[in-house]
Amino acid sequence: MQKNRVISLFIAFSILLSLFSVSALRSSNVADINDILKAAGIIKENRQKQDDKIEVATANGISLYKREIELKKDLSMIVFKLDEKDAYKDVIKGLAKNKVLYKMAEEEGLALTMEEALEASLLQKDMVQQDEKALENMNSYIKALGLTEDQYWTEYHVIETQQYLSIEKLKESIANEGIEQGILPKVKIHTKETSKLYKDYIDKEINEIEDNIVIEFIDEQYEEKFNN
Amino acid sequence: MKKITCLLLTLLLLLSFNTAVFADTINTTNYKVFQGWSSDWGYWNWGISSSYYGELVTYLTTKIISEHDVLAYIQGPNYDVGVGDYFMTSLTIKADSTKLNTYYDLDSINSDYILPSPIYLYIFGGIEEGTNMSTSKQGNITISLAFQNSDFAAIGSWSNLLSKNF
Repeated sequence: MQKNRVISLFIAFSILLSLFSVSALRSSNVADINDILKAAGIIKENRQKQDDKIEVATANGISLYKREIELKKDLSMIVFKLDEKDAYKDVIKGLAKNKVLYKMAEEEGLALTMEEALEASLLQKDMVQQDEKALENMNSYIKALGLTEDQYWTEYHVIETQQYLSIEKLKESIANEGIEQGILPKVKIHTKETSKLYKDYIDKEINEIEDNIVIEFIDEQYEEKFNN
Repeated sequence: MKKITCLLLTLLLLLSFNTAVFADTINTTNYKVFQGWSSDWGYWNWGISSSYYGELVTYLTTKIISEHDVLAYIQGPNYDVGVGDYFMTSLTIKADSTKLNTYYDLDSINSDYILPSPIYLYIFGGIEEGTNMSTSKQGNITISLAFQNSDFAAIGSWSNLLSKNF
């Protein structure tokens, strides 16, 4: 009887652990610069390949391409040390979420213009140039990507910046809606409490959006990889 | 009569010395770039200036930090620097190597910013109790700060230290 209980507890614990394993791995949130430089090498190789655009799935009708899934899977395995199974699941979920959020930002007129994104990218360039060690890391990364500094700050990083900050602006607008509806207090300078209140609210809203994303697979192999 | 006047004058002089206050500002500043990487958003940098300002009051035999605060801000005038949380994790005052029983109010820290709006982080730590020490001792204040952003993996340490002897 007691043995059965121990086995049941073990099974329940294993299920719980597997549910959280992917996010737990990602949230360990420390990366080795050498792994990041290796990842940059993979990005460089990938950039030099032909842009084939093979659609393997859609997320709320938005295309998810084989090449971007494979690239991000490889990067996650190198930097976050995920095994292939977890990496596929994590990458497909993450890509679907980011693409849907970015489209929402676009539809709501919140997406940054390329000029704004360029300004933000150059601001980061200014910041990093004031710290010798940070600059050394940054320049190694740019070199590993096979880009010149100018190409990186005025082209490559502008695209990343545009997408990331557009989604951040969407999050800001979600918080503003919360304020308008009286769910969140209007705050000029955040305390720990108000910040947590805002974060919890935004997370809840984003999780709701994520839960409603419909991923439809065109390629069965990727469906298997996602569901495994 | 002369003796009494002399004694009184000495007493007054000693009294004035004991209540005499020399106030001085102590401060220290650093700039650190925190770096992170994401498979979605690539390599990001957050350059944060952190400063400590304290008012050091020296009496005849003792000294005390009467008021102080920690101020931090992400460089750049606009919202487009990205977001993250920057917060104080501890504040320690030592007299020589002895850690003083220091009071500060962590709840009053205004640290976390989550939105891409101008980022100025003010961390107020008002302490008085337990910071009193002999002037013969070397005082040191250390403030530990940490950065975080759950969208990125940290490259290197996302912690920072401000330290000042007095």
